Amino acid sequence: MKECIDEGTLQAYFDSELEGQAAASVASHLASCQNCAETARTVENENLFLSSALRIEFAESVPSERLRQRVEAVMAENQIVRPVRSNDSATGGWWESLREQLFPSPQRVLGFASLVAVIILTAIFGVVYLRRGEVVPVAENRTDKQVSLPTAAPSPLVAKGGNEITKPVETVEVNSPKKPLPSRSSGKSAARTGLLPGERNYVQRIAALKKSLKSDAPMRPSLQVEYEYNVALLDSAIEMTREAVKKNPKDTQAAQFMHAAYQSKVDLMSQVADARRFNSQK
Amino acid sequence: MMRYRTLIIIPMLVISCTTAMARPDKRKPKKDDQQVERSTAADPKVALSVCIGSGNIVVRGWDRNEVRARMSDGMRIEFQPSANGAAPPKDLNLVIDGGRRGERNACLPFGHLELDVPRGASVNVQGGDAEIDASGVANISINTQSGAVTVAGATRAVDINTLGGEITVRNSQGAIKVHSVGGGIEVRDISPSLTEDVFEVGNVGGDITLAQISHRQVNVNTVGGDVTFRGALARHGRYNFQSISGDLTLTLPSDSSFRLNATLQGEVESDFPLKILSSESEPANNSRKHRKIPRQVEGIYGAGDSVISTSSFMGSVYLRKQ
Repeated sequence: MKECIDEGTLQAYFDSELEGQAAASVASHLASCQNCAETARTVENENLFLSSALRIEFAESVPSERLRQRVEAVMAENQIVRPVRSNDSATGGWWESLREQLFPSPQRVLGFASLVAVIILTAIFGVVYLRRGEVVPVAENRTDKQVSLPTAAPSPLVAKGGNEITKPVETVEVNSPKKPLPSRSSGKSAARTGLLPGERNYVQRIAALKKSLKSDAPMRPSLQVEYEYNVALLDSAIEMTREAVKKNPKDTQAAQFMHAAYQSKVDLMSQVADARRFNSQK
Repeated sequence: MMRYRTLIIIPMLVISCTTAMARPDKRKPKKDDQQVERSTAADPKVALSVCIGSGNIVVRGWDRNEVRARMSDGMRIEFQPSANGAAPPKDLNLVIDGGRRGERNACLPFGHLELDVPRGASVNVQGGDAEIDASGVANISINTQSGAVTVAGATRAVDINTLGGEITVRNSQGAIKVHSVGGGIEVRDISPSLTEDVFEVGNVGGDITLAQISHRQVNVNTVGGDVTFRGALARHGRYNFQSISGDLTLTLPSDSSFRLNATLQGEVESDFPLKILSSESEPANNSRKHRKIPRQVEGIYGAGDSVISTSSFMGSVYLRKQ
């Protein structure tokens, strides 16, 4: 989406009326286009102002009671009329009418048959794929156990049992941000090769913060976009520095940069968690 | 028939026009346009706290021992605790009037707020989406999620923390601490009020522009933003610049005197003929392609009065003459 977003689309975005793909496209455009971000902020502020100013009106039931009564009356009339019409087809005619509706012509019968076939095939593929999906992570985790923890010192994480080792693998998702970055593929390789010295503490803190952020009230869309952009930036920094440390574990400078990037991410997530708490307390 | 209808319609029109013109509250502004004003006597060094969900806040220092608040949108506000004739309060909260008495964290939901406070006051603002403009107070502490923040003329301390807003600080003194996650930061004409005052600025993504900073201890930290520093270095000053991927550009007077300690992968480009004291390049056993290891460069220009320490994983350092 290179051109600027029109106001209608923006409004739809803030009203959560856009489909997932379209919403993601708008979000990424907002992150890169300053003009649109400015317009988005204006639209959002207007929405906020309106929702605050008209809170009482919004709280009241719409439509009004009178209008609702009238609508209900008309609906009630229609409900009365419909059975009268269906009575024409007499008892037992429901099957006939159903058959007429479902299979009015041989073409439609064929259509239904192919649809059913497609559903069955999809289900078969789905089951096969899921079974494969169950096996692969287990295999990956096994390699993690053998390769990923080079330090001999037993950590509390390891002591808790094999399942705990998969946790860092999950949190390495940190290194694969939602936005497309060149580091995305290497996030998986990081999972395979395990955590670097000093990394575990950060990964655990990030996982805890992530969990807490999920349970808190969501942020406003423009802040969410900003947050995700900065998290992606940090993930990219973590990935770069991590690669350097991985290639040369004795490089203390690179390790310091990696720790700094992790610390920045922890700080950012803590700040966002505080902001969300503030919003929910308001 | 037509005649009767005309006879009825004309008087009705006349009556409705007269009624409309004579409506008693016609000139009264709507409730939402009303401005609510509250003021209270206060200690010259009063600490005032205010929280706003969204809107604008303007804070001004004035030469009275009194705090005045003006709130638009007809929102009723009050100071807690209210002055009761005894000594003027040293701590004040501005909250919504009624219903939340005693609740110190009561947040004004929205609106445009103007605050006049004694020049020696400390003002603490907490906000969601709030634009804040503060000038002429001793201490200012701001914590918001978004919205631009501008501070000028602070005399003792500035502490700003935002998630997404742009930050501008001008003509201020004291300990300065500025942090924004995604917003750009611009700080100009800043000096310490005490020798030990520290200047700290940091962000994740936005650019940082610094000019005429007189503090002797300057710490700048960014992840991906570019940093620009312009102005003279303080004698015996210590400057620490850290970034992961941002570049650092220092534009200094030609008579500057400094020692440079740089740890970086990028390049050091200098208009100043640096005398290199030591330089550590990439290890000799580094045979892999695209492998980058930070290297250290230590150089000196002049007598080396100030120390500039920079560390950047991907960025470069540019030293320019003014």
